Amino acid sequence: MTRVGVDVGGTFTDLVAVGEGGSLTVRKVSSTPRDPSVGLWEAVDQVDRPIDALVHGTTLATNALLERRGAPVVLLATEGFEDLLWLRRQERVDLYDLLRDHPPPLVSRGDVIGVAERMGPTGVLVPLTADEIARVLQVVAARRPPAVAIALLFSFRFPEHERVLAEALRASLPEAHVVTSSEVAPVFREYERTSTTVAEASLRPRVSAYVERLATDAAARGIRSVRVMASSGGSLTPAIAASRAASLALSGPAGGVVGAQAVARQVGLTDVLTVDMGGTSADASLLLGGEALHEPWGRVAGVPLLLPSIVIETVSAGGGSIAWVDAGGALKVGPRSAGAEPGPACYGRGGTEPTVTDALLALGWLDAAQPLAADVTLDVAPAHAALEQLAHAAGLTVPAVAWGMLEVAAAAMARALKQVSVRRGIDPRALGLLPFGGAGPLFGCLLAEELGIGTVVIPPHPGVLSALGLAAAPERVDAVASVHRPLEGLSAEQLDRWRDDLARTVRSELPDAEVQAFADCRFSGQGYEVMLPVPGGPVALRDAFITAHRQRYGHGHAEAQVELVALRTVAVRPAPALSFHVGSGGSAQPRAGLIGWRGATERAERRPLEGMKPGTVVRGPTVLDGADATALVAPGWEARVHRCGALIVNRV
Amino acid sequence: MTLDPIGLEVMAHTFAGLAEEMGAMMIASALSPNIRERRDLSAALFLADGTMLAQAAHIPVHLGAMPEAVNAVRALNPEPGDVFAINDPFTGGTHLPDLTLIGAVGVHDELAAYTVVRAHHSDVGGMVPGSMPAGAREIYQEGLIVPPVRLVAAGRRNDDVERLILANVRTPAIRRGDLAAQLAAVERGGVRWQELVIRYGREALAEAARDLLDYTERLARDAISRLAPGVHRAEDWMEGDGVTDDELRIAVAVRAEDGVLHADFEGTAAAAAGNVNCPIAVTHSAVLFALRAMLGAEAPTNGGLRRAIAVSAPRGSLVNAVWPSAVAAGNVETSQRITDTVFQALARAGAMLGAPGQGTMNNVTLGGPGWTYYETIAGGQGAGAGGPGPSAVHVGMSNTQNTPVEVLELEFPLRVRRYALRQGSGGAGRHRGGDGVIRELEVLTPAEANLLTERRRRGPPGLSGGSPGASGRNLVDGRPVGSKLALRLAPGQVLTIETPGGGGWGAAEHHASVG
Repeated sequence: MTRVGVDVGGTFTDLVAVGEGGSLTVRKVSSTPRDPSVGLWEAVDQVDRPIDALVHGTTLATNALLERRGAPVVLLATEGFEDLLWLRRQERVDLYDLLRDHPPPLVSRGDVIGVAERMGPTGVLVPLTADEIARVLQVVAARRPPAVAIALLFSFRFPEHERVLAEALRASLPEAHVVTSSEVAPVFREYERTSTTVAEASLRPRVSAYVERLATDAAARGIRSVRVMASSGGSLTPAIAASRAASLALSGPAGGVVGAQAVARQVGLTDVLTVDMGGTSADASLLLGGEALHEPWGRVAGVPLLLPSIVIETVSAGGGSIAWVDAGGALKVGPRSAGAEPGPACYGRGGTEPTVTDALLALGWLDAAQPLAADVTLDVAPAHAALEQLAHAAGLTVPAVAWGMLEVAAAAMARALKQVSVRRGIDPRALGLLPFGGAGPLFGCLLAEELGIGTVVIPPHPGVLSALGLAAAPERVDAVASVHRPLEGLSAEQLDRWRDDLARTVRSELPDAEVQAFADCRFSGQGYEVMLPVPGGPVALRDAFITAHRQRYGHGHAEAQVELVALRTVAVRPAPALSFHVGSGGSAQPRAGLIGWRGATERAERRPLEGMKPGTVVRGPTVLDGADATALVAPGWEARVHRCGALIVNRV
Repeated sequence: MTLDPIGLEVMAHTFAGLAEEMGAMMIASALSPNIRERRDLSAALFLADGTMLAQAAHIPVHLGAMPEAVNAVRALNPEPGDVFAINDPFTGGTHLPDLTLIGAVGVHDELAAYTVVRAHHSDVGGMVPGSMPAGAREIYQEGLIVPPVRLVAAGRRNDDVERLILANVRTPAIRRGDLAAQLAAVERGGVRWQELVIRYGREALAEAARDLLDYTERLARDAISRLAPGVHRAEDWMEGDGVTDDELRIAVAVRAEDGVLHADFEGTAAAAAGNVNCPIAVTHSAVLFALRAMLGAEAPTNGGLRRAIAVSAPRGSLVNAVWPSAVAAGNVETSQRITDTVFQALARAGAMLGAPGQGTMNNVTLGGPGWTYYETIAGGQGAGAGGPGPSAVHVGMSNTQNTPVEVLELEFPLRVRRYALRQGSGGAGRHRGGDGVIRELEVLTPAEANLLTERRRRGPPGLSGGSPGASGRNLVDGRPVGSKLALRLAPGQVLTIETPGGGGWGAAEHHASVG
């Protein structure tokens, strides 16, 4: 019984195989951006067969959104409203940077076709005639688009016009991917719904071809089950993913959060902040009650997506982030990054600007004698030269400016961690912190001190945790139905019937799954909903909503009318529980070293991150060098090796 | 200075985060589309001495005016746990719909900070639904005037004040809901401040605040010191005041001296009969906005900026109006023109600011029995040396979102007939100005409409050889109507607003038509 997770990132393709009894195998190969599946299979083919399940995290959709390189889309919009994607919500990007513009929509304006039809809040205002359908078909056919998005006003309530157009298009253009907004995101607010629909249409040709080939290639290797990670933190079959391309927008980061969840479970923690520090950015997220925090909508690469997603807050603080001093004398880190090429100055590939990685090297947190993942060797001299210039500009010494960079990067990450916790009224001091990614575990104690957190969990193989998460990911399917009815007039039977219908939908895609129902409720007249589990009938739901609203927003009239805006069901089939452990190999002798910490130089130990026996205690300051990541147990902290290989780091 | 560069950045994030949380809370739980969809609100944190420590990035016109409101409250010897309501433009308000709640935050029974949320309530009574009347001649016509009064006294709710307010507005249930959300946000901000005090200690927090303000002041002075020496003048005009069509001059002379930006409005027209007048607080906001825009996206927004400006304006003028002038349009329209004028003067002083944007908020207020709808409509941004002006954005002193078509039609007896970019309306130039917007509304029941708009005669000027943007147009059933007017619409009548394009920048590459 081997489960394999493969996370294809921009630079590396990471693989974690969990074998019989929970043994872990880790592989890291270079990514192959032109055809990501080449790197994927190169990694997979290094694992002993049989492989029972393969779960894949992909940046295919993310990059297509970021680079605006999805398929050309023709958009059908209600006549008079063709410009919705250019009008957006009319706010400017930055209040004070007046020329900064929004990223362009995923469709070109010339490919938007107005349709003479109109639904209103109570039904048809302008009927969609057969002549108009014929005209639209002709105009679309002349463009031979790979994908067509249909997003008409009020289709969240009256989808008929969208359906009729979709049927006609599918019949006459069988090779085109046709996507309607009422299928993808049947919720109100036309701009966000149109945006989601166009994203789906733009991504679908590429994503569906990719996942279909993935299925074929997997079958050829005798892999029994293959799945793709969605932004929701659940995995989809290739067949389902092929028609939910936009739900892969945060496939990669979601894998990391699920990995964190699996490790947190192993060590018995339920409420945990997670932070994944990569080369250019850091992603913060939150587990509560053992579950990742979800939101029904989000924004990826400037594109609003009305699709359920794990809450992920990204800040530009990564190993490659470049530091500088502004006109007022403040030290800044990012948003510019040295990327993988030329990379930080210490990579010796021509980078001359000081990055976070250079600061880590200068302070001895990274060791020039210890190559990073994939044999990147570090050189102190160029790092020092880059930092010296910055130190001069800041009026500080090199160690002081290096330390400052770490503090500023930590402050940015702390702000992201607060966004996902404090902004929701959750006190971080009551949470654990699970840092991962190549450099994340170096910042764990620093961030914990910043946020008042007492326990840091460094997962086994922190540099490939996303891949581990994929191997541990549950299967998940989401469905949503727009309701827009007051709860007070609703019978328990009606609510049950809607819930059962929705449950059937998701169960048909995921038999034997555990199905949970959620309700989006608000006080009548509000614009945003609180999503909460459906506790029973309408009365119980009402009470639960008012309690949740008071807790979150500090007020709530017991006598006010409550509206049920939407019902959601989530079908989840958990992956078989992983009880992994890492081999307790040789325990190499610690070496002595020096690190910079809060302006002082501390005598620290250096030892390998892997291979420590469960129960081993490591006192800070100690740097732990791993194959794919480096960790720091800071002064005043003490780590104990858990039997699953994680390090539990507590304040002494 | 006790904070190092690192500490500065950390504390700037901390204070800004507190203000952002207040704003986000109110948006998430308010009732009126103007607040929950359009986000017509601002949240800020003030020190006990009345200095603004952080403002969430919402509405610039609130930037300069909030300190006046806090000072008006401070004059009343507030106690910890008090929450004041205020909208009086002559004691720190902007215009009457902007109702501000100010919470006095105590730490160990001592007043430590103020948490402030200002939100545009889309009806506060007065002569027309929506309280944005065209043609008002004195402030009493514009709605209920609320001087600083305690909504909460030492932690205890005083329902009398709320009842008085609700008795004077057309949509009391919505106002009650919005006020509840606003009050909860102000109180949450207070709790957050107390948590910060526990975490850092009072002394350390005060030092951090001081250093952060000093830092922002340094950034501002640095930008100001790079302006060309001498006096730089600019003038621009308002197109009538809603009572007469006479043009009203706004004149400014700016100069940089010892790191302070002086803006003198001598030569500006006297206060008008209509409601385009600005209390001095709004004029402060416009100058602060121009200064803040010179600093780039990353700088903090706080009272440190204020130390680097000196504003003077003749008392009783259009830009320093006094009681009982009507002011509803001053905050939303004249504020834009002041900004344009200051920008043009600063451009002459070498500041890297672009051509004027649409220079109006295109205020549309519609209402009838039991409903009021207020909207401001985006237009073109001016182009600059750095690139073209964005299209369909709010410019200058506003940054509200739109009311989605689906929300609008679900909530009000209105139908949107068309919502489109106004192609080609941006001014030509080496870099084009952004395009304006067309929004066409059909009323389904009899409605009172009030329009407060500008740049209907002349489009926003270009800069450095760029052409002006197209002027805006207001139409009823296809026939052009004035820029500021009140009218009654019958069911089936259609109101069309075409908003101005932004000014172009630089001479166009092709041969420009001379004329």
